[in-house]
Amino acid sequence: MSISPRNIQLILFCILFFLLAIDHLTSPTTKNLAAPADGADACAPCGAPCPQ
Amino acid sequence: MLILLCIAALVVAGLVSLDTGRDGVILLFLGGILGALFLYFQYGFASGWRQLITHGDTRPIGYHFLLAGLCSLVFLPYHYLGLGAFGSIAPISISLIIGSFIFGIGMQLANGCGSGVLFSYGGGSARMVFALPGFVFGSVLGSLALPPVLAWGALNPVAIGIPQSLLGTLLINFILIFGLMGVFFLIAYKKGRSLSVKWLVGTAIIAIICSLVFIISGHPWGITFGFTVWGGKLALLAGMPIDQAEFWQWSGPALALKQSVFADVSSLMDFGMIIGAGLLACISSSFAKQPWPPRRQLLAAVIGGILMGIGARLAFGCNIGAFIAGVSSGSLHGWLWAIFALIGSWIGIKMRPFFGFQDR
Repeated sequence: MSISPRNIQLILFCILFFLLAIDHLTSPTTKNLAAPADGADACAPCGAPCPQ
Repeated sequence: MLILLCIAALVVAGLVSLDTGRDGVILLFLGGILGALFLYFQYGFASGWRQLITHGDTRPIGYHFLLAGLCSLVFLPYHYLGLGAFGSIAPISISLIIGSFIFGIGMQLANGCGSGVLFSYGGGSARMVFALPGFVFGSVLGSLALPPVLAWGALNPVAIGIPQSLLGTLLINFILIFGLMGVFFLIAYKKGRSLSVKWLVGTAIIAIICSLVFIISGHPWGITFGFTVWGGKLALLAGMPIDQAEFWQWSGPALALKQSVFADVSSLMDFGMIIGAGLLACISSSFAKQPWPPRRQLLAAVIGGILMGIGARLAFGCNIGAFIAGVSSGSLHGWLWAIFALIGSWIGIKMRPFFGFQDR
């Protein structure tokens, strides 16, 4: 590949931080940290409900 | 690159403070420390499983049980005494078995698991430039697959212990975890393999930080849900109605998809790990110094990443979020995860030569 890993990393870091800034500006926040396991019906770390 | 990362770290910390205040910034900082520590100690789970299978070296898996044991000293009392933080539990399901097996294959092909992909990516690994997007994509696929696969068969979470006896529950878990650790270290000793003081110290420091994350966030540290959220948000950005899928209508994922990514604990820790590992790599002048790996290995990284993404969602996490967090929380799912990830790793190791890996 002609582009070095270092340059690809630089480009990806810039894209990542641009997307983060966009998400921050366009998304609401409850001002609280949130984990899916906090959901009322959560039975797993990803928030899946209990099977039974 | 160092200057860019420092600016990025400050900007992200500022945005996090706006979204989630002091606790969010602390978690970002702890994630950064973990990223630097994992890179410094090369604290790999995938290589640990591989050492066990290919060389019969039981030390790495022993260190991982030591990590789980040290975490359990904090997790279990906090959980059972109701001190405001809760351990990691998950259903015993067919999805858990399939997912951990798939994850085991994936982590051997990608040459790193959830934490390995993150700290290596942050440290400038060219391979992980391919593995991380694969992981994100796979975890979105996994989010779509989890509800129907869960319907194939699942039991409610099973806590290891004695009902109504806190002391008995704690003792049983401590004996199981530290006992197995002792067995692994004893086998290594009998084979003439000495323990590494560096790894013992590294494990202890990582356990302390995991415990701090647990107390501050209220849950054990998990990595892969962040990837799922990133993929879900990108899918929405691309116009896909992913929020209509069953997984994304469960209250936890729905909230994560809707609100700022800086409010999601897993994402915060992940960003911290990338930045922390990146800063250490820049300071030590090792950032992105390696050339591109052979193309077949890059293909393995993409496939491995996708498999890990799917597997992590089906199995409720990775080595950190399911194995370490589950075992140290006294949940049966963590133990089952380890068994089936080990079997998957064995298959993955058999596949490595097809992708040009020399070491199997």
